[in-house]
Amino acid sequence: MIDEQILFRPIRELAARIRERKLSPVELAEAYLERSERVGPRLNAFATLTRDLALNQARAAEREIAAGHYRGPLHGIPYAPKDLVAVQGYPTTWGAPPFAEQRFPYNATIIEKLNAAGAVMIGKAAMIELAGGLGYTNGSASLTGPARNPWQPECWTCGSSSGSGAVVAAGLATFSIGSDTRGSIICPTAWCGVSGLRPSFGRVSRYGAMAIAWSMDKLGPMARTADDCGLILSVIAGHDPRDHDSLPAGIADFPYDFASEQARPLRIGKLTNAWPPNAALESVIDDAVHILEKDGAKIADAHVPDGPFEDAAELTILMEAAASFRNMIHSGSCARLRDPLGQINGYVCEEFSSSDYLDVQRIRAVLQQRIDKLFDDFDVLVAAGSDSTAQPLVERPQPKRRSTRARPEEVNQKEPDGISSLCGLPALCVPCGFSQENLPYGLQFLARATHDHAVVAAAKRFQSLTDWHARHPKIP
Amino acid sequence: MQEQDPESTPNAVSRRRFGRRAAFAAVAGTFASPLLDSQEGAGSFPAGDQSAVDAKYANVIRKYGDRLSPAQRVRAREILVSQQRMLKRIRDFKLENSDAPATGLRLYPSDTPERRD
Repeated sequence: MIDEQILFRPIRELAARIRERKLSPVELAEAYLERSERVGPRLNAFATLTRDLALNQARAAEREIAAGHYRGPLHGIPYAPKDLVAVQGYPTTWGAPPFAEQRFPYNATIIEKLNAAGAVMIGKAAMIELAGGLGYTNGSASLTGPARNPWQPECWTCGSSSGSGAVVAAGLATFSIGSDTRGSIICPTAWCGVSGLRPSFGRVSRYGAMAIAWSMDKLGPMARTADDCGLILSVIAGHDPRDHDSLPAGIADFPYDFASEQARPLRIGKLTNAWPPNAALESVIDDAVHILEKDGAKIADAHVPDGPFEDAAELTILMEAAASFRNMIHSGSCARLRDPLGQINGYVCEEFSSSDYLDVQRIRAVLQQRIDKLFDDFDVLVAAGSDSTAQPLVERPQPKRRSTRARPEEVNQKEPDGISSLCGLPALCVPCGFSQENLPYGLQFLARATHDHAVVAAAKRFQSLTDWHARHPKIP
Repeated sequence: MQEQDPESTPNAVSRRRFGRRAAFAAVAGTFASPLLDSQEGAGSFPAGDQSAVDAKYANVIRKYGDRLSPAQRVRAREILVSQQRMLKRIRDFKLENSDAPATGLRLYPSDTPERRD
């Protein structure tokens, strides 16, 4: 019988026990499966549990390791990919009623890589329908219902990697795979109090994964620690000629050395115009930054440059989604989506023109240069992972405040997820405190495109100085 | 058809932020996004933009009107107004002739494998 606390241990620790044959991959998989079957439905965490596959993979891992063939740190480690990556033999629903029976006759590249590493798939994590590709208005917009936050089940996990966040936070698998077009890894990571990495655009192949916006979609890990994220990224990264936007071989790879430490002090820019003012949140971020400063990091304020980052990000997604979901829009099957916005948004988004798209992409190139210049002075930028802690699930959005003018103090604010997603930057979010309601706050590190090692190193350093990541919710 | 006053509509559809804001709205009583809240330019929505919204709306109805309920038609117009505001801010951004788009043709190597499906 495996102690429940084992289910919340990071990969490196589990991997060492498995390698030394002090922990059985089969027993570990069975423990996660039992917990997933018991707790998962209460949280709407999974789209599908893959018990048979998990046990077959775990038994294979156990046999191989016993025979002296240890594949590496993910060998025998249970995980759950978001239900938008193709897994041969199992449904891949994209979280949406029109695709409830969808199956693919092949594995996504990321699944092939995880199979090759000997990882054990417990199930497929629930998600917001189409990963929010045609819009959504609340957390119930999912084939499997609203994902509930393990820290407070009346609250949402955020989306669209909603199940991926719940799975890790609730100890239903050691890690999960999420996708991020604009904040869909970072926000659930922050709200669920786990560690999540959105890699640089192009580092992880998306072949076999549902597309929303080809020029913005990314896949990445959600796990216990930044170190876990580095380990997973080292497995799933790499050039794939089947993904048009895959980085070239040599750049896409992510060799990860746990022991490597930056020789000089970290140069950290604290974003001053990210998110609307929120005293409690700012206090938590200030405390986190102060911890890094006491550790020797050089801290300075940083300001996101002017430019329509948010509009360009949003429009790029809307325009590309109108193309990627064209069949569904034309057939009218979008009417079967759960969310009222998703049911009609595709019709409207077909009205964008080609010159609109090209103008947005021309601005995007200019904005990429502007944000890149910020990193001349900093190794990483830091900001809150989200503008709040997890919020209650609601069936309908509340009426919008009808202000007729901008609040002056907010006019120049930028949302880090829009900026970094538009420009393909890596981001890693880790827990950095808890609210009075015992809900986690997230701190995200951003780096120059392809400098994924910088966010892993900075977040790992932060976690060596804190223990927020070691906390987990008490679930009966 | 007379254009609705953009001020009177619960404007602003953000595909992904919307859900997060919706949850937030339950306790905050407001949507917190400055860009969505600001009604930026609401008082000076140019006639050309109004016309563009009208034309796009007419085209949506021409193509998909038989699929849309009256409430969905209202919502579709609101979305178009919101999108037009975003496009206006994009068009207000100064670009030079030499500013090329962040798109590009990748030349396939000859050894590109076939798709698995």
